[in-house]
Amino acid sequence: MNSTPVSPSSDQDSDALLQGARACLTYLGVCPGEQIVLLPTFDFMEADPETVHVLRAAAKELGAETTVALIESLGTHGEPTEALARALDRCDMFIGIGNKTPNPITGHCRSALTARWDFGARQVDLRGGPGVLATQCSLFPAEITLAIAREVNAVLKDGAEIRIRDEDGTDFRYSVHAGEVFFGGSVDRDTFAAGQRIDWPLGQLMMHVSEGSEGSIASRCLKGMREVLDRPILGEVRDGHYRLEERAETAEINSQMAKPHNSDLVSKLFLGVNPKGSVTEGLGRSNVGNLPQSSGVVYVAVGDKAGLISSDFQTGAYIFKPDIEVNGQVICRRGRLSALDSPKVREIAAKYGDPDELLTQIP
Amino acid sequence: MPATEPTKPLTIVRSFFEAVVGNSKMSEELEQVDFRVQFRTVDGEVLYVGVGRNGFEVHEGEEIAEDDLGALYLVEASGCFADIFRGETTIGNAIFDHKLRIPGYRNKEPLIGAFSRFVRLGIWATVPGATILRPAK
Repeated sequence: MNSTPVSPSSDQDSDALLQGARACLTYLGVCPGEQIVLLPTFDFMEADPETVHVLRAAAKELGAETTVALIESLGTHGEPTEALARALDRCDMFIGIGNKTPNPITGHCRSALTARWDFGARQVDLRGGPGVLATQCSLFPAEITLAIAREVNAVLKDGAEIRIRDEDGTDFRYSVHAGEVFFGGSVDRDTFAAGQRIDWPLGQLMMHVSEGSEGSIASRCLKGMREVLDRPILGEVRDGHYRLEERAETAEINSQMAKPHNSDLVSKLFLGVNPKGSVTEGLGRSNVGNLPQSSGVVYVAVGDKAGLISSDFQTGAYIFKPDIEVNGQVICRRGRLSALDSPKVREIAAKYGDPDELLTQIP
Repeated sequence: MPATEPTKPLTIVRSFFEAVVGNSKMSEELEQVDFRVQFRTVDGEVLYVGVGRNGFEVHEGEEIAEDDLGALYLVEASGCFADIFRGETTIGNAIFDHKLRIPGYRNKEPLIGAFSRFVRLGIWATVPGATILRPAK
């Protein structure tokens, strides 16, 4: 399967973009009088200036003020200028908007983290490049996405064993630490809160993986790839350490992970919970756009974990059609989350339209 | 002359909160906050501090659990409590530098930000000239 090319803003629907901006800022809990700093990269502004305009318009409707600062992408630990770092400390929320170079300010640099942890600023990564606000994934009601996340989270009890398998040979296990399961913000909140960070479009349940994860991961797409491989790449995890089989596609990754300053520890596991996330479309987008949010998709992240593991290099593996069991209870079968069929989720979806249509995963 | 024994980190923490609670500049702030915070040093010593609606409480021992979503459990990974409460670094920087660990921190970031703000104001009021208060340039 190859990626679907994403055209820049030429044929974007402006109304859908504005609707996406409203949905985004509403979930983010923007209040009157708040100060928002938009941080698009230069290349994003060249490709899609309209997104910044609609975000400003939507913020104004909510009574917030926006400031726009064009920046270069700074890399994982890259720091912005001191002037900008001060602005991050002072604002209520900053939104990084990348294109060819995603995440212009990551959640792994000191300036962003101290802005959040010492000053309570909220951090958002608009992920997916030009036009992403107008995608189905972005427009999907946050209330339904949250309901799905809560259904999944309800079974992730402390100490439970989570086991992920697939037809390619994946068989990966670790113990859940209930206090280390997150939903960008918090899974029990209806909106985003001070000090937190999230990717938009909404739709990833994140679990910090502590030591002791074990097993095999057979992935047809690793971080940075823009296609689904015909033959899966095998990775072995032993006591949390990840090692990929030697292949042309993995030589650079293995070489990086072998360096002393880079970590090979499995750090996080992401589970997509948005049925309108798209593997096909996401592959063509900046930073694989709305692919990780796609319901049932698992991403196993290796490397940096702010405050806990420091690593300049990060990698990870996608599992597209997993079977997932928690203490033997099936929560996902061949990439279809059981939560999508939950009466509670369907009831909430019914407020927005036909639950069958809303809860049908798109490819 | 015998060498002076260094002040214990939790003594510095306790002194900081006692000074803040007794400082008139902080009275308005104290009316608005409500924190329950557990401190555990590298040596395993524990101190509980409660500030807010129920008044001020500080005592040795463990009062809250690590996974209490309504409270903060600050675990020293390497010595940092003394630096934080003398105003030489911030809570955010200590986490970033892997000196301070807060279990389940991603679900507690709203609390972390609010508590760090309170500590910064407390430093401002009680530790004039502290490093973290110096202008950036």
